[in-house]
Amino acid sequence: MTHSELTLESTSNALVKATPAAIEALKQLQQTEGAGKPGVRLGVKGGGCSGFSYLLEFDELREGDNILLQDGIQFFMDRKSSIYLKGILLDFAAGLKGKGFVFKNPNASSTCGCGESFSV
Amino acid sequence: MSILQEIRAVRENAGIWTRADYTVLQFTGADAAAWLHAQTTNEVKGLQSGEGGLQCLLDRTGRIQTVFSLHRWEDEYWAIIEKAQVAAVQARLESHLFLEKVSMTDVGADTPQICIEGPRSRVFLSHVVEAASPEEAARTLPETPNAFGPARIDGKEVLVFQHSLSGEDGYLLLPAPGGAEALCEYLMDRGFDYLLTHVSQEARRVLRIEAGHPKFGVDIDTQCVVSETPLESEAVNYAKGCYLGQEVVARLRAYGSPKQMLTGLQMPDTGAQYPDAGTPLLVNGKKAGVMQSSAFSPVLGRWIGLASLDREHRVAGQEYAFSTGDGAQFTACVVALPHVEGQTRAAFARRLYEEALDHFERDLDDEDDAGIVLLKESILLDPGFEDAYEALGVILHRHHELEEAIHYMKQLAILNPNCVMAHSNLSVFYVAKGMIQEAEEEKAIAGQLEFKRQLDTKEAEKHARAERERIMADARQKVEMFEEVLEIDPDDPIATMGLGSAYMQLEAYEEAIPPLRTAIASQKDYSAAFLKLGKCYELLGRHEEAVDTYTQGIAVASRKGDLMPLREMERGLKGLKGRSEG
Repeated sequence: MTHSELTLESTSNALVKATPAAIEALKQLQQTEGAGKPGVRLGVKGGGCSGFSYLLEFDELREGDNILLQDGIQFFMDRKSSIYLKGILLDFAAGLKGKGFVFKNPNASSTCGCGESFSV
Repeated sequence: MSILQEIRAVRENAGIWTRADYTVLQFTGADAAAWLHAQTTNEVKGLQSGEGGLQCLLDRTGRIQTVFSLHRWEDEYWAIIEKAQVAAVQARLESHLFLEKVSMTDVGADTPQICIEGPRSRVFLSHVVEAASPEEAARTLPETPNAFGPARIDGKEVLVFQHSLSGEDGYLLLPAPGGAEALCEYLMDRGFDYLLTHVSQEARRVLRIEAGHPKFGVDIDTQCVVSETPLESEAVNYAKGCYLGQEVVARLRAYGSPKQMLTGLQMPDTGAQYPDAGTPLLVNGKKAGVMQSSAFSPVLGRWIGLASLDREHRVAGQEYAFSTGDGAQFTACVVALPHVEGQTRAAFARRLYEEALDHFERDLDDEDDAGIVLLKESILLDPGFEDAYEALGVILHRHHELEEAIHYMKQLAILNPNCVMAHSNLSVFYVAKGMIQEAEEEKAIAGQLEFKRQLDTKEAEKHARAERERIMADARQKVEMFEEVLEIDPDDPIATMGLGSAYMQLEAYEEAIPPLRTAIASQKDYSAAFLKLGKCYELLGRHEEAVDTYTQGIAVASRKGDLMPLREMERGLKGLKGRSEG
């Protein structure tokens, strides 16, 4: 794998953006759960209440990944997932059920329930 | 338009030209298949209607008399052949046709043939061949080299053959007599939107040399044995049985490597002229081969050539100081042919897919259709490319083209009935259309498939573990067996090679190195041992030693004519050099 094979995206035209709260939460988690892993993988897989579920985990860089840099956090995203994740805002919110990451998808229809959150 | 632009058109898009120096010979009669099969180097009897293959006629000593492609349509056989070579086929018919019922007619002398080549040529043809849709048209186009079939273009019947001069995806169009000019005009008009480019004879010559295709009468002639040319891999079937010259060809194969072989040479662009075809080449005053066609390749930025080189001097990657009889000197690097590899349809479809995703990722407002066009082209080129269907469906949905999005996602579900994402997406699309029942059905299918996928994954992992244990046990047994043999003869090359291979299966690469080195020391031309030793060094991250081993191994395999290890070591060396440069 070479870095020249990778597509670099800057935050100014990022496919995906994260709120300051999400960035802060990821930085804290990277020291514990993400130790030794250089970035955060964003992805999509089949399943979940709307047919899809979001993937969010600390991971290594893989061949063909897009890299998105925001405020010191590297996000890795495979090309295929980008067709589902474009325009998404990653947030970190606290509610009655506890704290969690929330994907805000401007393209998701209300019936799909795509704003699935991940407990941390 | 410059030659460089014409060549780039064929390498990146599509080019068109006509050729009037070829014709079509039609063979008919009850014994046509049997007679042709007994004369030519490649399969004839086994050809199905719509199939074809490259063929040579040889003389008794295995020397090539003529080269052509032969195609079957029902009970007829058609040879597409240079007009200059028709006399040789006629002579064979006169000298070797006795009681068999075979007749030959020249049916194409007055009809120029139209060639369209380039990675986008199939996309273009899919839009000009008459059919219900471009996808339907693409399905009627021939898939494999030398296959062919009828099609209708501009209201007229045309035969479309898979044929390539450049190594890129290519098609040969045979119109009805008198129809070539009008067809060519129509294709040029329609090709405007596809940047279809006319390709001159000069550019075609460069493309041919880049592809490593020898031209009969120029690079090869009636003095060449077929085994000395790249034609051997395409035009010779070693299992077909007897034909004139077959014994010589079979014997040469058994002996390994022919004395002379057409090979690639690459020379720097110094402004100097390189020798003409037919010029003997010397190394240290001794004859090393004969120069054949050469040309400047604007794509590679250097001179490239075809040369018949002897065994000692066709070591890929090796540079030689050549001289000619008149005192001219030049340095050239020997390379395996082709100089330029054509792109496969699947590889180009993947490239278009990547380009489409680039467009999509930049288009934050979902207003640009460029990605959609590229994905549709990608599917025309590779109708089995699942990722392209999925991306196209999702992007069409984002562009509010729901009907089309559903169409492509259904295509994906047909292509791969176990694709969870196809059914998940269909569920989402149906919800957007207000078709709740259909959406629920698709969602249920997706759920079942996901459950099944998880079970299958667990089962596959279990099988993989069991298979790995079996392979390891087998390798441990082989280690014991080969060690027993080596107690009797510690230098036995087969046992040392076997021991090294068994250690490699056990992923014990350090342990594999000593026996592999012993195998090479005992048998200095053991190219397969060089390959395995180089692989061990590579896997251990000892890249310098891997490069040295591959370099020595390539020289050995080139001299011996061991093509399989040669190609693998060339790939390994290229990968290592790419890594060190990267």
